[in-house]
Amino acid sequence: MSVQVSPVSATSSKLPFERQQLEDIGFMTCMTLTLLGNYAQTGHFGGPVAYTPFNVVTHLAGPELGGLRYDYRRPKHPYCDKFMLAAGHCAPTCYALWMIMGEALYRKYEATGDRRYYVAPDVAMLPVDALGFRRGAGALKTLLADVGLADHPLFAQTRGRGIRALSGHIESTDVTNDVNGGPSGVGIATAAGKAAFWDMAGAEIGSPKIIAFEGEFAMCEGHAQELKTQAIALQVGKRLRIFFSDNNAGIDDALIGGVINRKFEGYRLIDQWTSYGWNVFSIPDGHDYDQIVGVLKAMEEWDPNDRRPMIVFGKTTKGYWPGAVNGKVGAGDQVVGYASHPYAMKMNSEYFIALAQTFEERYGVEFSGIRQGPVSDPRERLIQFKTNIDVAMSVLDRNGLGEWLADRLVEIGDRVKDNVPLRIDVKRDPFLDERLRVANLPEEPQTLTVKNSVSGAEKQVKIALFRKAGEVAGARRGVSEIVKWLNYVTENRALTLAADLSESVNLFCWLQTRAGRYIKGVRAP
Amino acid sequence: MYLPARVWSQQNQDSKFRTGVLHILAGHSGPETAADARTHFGIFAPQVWKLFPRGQVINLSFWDYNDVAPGYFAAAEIAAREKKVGIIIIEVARPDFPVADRSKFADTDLRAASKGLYVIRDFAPGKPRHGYVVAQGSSSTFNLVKVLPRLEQAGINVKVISAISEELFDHQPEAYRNSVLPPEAYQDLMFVSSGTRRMWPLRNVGSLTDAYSLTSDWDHQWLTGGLEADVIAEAHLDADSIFAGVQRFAQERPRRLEQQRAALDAL
Repeated sequence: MSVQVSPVSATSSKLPFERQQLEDIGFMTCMTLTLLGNYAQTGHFGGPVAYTPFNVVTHLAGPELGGLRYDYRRPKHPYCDKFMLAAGHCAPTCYALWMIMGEALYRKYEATGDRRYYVAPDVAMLPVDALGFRRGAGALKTLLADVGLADHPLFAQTRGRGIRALSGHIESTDVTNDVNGGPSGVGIATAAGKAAFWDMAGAEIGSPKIIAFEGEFAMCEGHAQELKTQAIALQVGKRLRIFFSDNNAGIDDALIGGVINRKFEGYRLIDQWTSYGWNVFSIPDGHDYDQIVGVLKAMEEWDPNDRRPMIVFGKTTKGYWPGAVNGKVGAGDQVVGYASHPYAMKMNSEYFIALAQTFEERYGVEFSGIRQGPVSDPRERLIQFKTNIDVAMSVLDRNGLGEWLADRLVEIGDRVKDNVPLRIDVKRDPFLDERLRVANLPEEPQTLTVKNSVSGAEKQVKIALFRKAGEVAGARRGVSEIVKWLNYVTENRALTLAADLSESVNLFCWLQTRAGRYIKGVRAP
Repeated sequence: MYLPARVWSQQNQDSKFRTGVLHILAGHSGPETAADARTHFGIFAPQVWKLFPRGQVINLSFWDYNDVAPGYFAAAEIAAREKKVGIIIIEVARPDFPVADRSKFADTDLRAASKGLYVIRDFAPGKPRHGYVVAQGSSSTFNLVKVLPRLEQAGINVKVISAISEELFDHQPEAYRNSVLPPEAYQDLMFVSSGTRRMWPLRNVGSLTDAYSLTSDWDHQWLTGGLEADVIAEAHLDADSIFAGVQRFAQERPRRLEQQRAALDAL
């Protein structure tokens, strides 16, 4: 199988996207997430920064270029594209970006009163929520009051909404994210099913789409391995697009040259996906905005009849920094690889200052107090934390960046459709049908006519929810009958998910009532 | 499999929207699966599905064909209306037993399984009571039902209850629950179960439950394989073992109640 190598930057730069704005938001995101780690003194660093350019482009390129179609004002809209930060510990890249987005919309709404920019306080993520990084909701209720800061103007955004708790690994309740990214690989393992669901519902192949992020170590895990076969078996096609952050860096070791001896040259990551039949793309620099836009566009324009799921390998650097030059941050060496995995820099330490200084020099701002050593007083820490978050946010005032971002978010959000033609009736919950109540279950065997909603073919199905005393039939044989009845009433809304264990556990019903595409190796209608 | 289900359960709890209901089918559970060799010994693994916050999953353990539809659809009725129920677990074993003759049960209702626990045999009136025997699982319940005439002939007067689902039972009116298992019954109770003594089918059972209950892990060893009959005999869930176990439970009632009273008196 060939690997699609994304067009080189020279070609991609012809694409119509606002590169400077994306790069600036990318740098803001990196700086903001670093501030989270600096003042919380916990979390992760190298992974979140490595994902940031792809994260920014995914959220802001726009649907025509293969970016997400979503609405920040209604992030859980059912018909928006699904974003999965399966590498859940990299949550800070998302938290930071969402804060920047939330702040841009907040400022525009405050300035204009235009409802198009309004985001409900419990929906938006705002800069003040930085204080909630890795804190529990209970502690946040009195965080400011405990140190006499409840009425301080710096924290005015908490009024009426408090501070949002931002957990250490991302959750499906977080703005555009649609996965609980927990132990390695468990989030990405659900990506194929998420895509298959929309096939079943009858949505057109490209919309909604699923864009998921994950890295090489998590992809070693068992459930992530199952994804490779699942996605091919379910024929999810271009609906599923995975970004594989290929930086060869885990927590305590490298993958190739570390866990895997380099002498095993046959251990090639891309081959591990082409050999499963995936449609594999590759970009040499996973931090280059041109290349990222180019590959997203290539995936977007791919033939919808090609039912291979998609994955793009992007070479990234764990510990990437926009202001780094030739492996240096300021005068010192850049911290990269697995050493950058945890946020291990002491508060306001030398390397943090070096990172911050590149941001200061790029944007002409100055952080407060970071050169006076760590802050031990809780009150002063919160003040310095929020002050410096606001310094990072001040870049929104440069060159109309905030205005551009707010308008961009509204433009993307207005593209989310409230009505999408589907095969299923979304106005009725079929599981509330009275025929499913225990009292209404038929005692006598039934012979029913069922119809394949895809092919239109009809057939007769026998269902026996009860049998006469003395007949030889174990309880397991009743399982197929309940599922047949369930699917008869709900018009096939119950599925089995197993490699090959449907008939051997007596789920014969699927052969008779299935819609034809979603079970056991998927047969086209 | 547990890990993704756990993550799913957390998502379901926090979601502002109704989500679907994950079903786990433990289709070859119970000691019977050791007929495929001990690597398939399915007595501890199905109990993993109880490791969720109470009320967020419904566990169903079916022994008879006619339990499946009422038990499952009772669970589905709840899950379709109570958002917090995100997972339904269906546990069944492989053997094909004859469908039970419920006309011989104390509760003849064909849909009795929908109530979670139902009475197979009530105490014979006018005779000393010997305690409560709660059965769960396929071979265990089938073989217990098989020896009921023998137990009666031996003068043993126990109340025999089928435990399909503690969660469904929790949803029943208090009057029904007390009619099946009054509060004091939990101190006078043994299990005959194809599960293990590491996790009982019901909570808050008495301190001597372990001393009398019959489970596959009776000697705290992994059992071997063989034909189903071999495996069930090794698990001490064959008819003769169950008869002996219930008889001992019945005959030692005065001593075990005295033991529990003495323990309380010592406090």
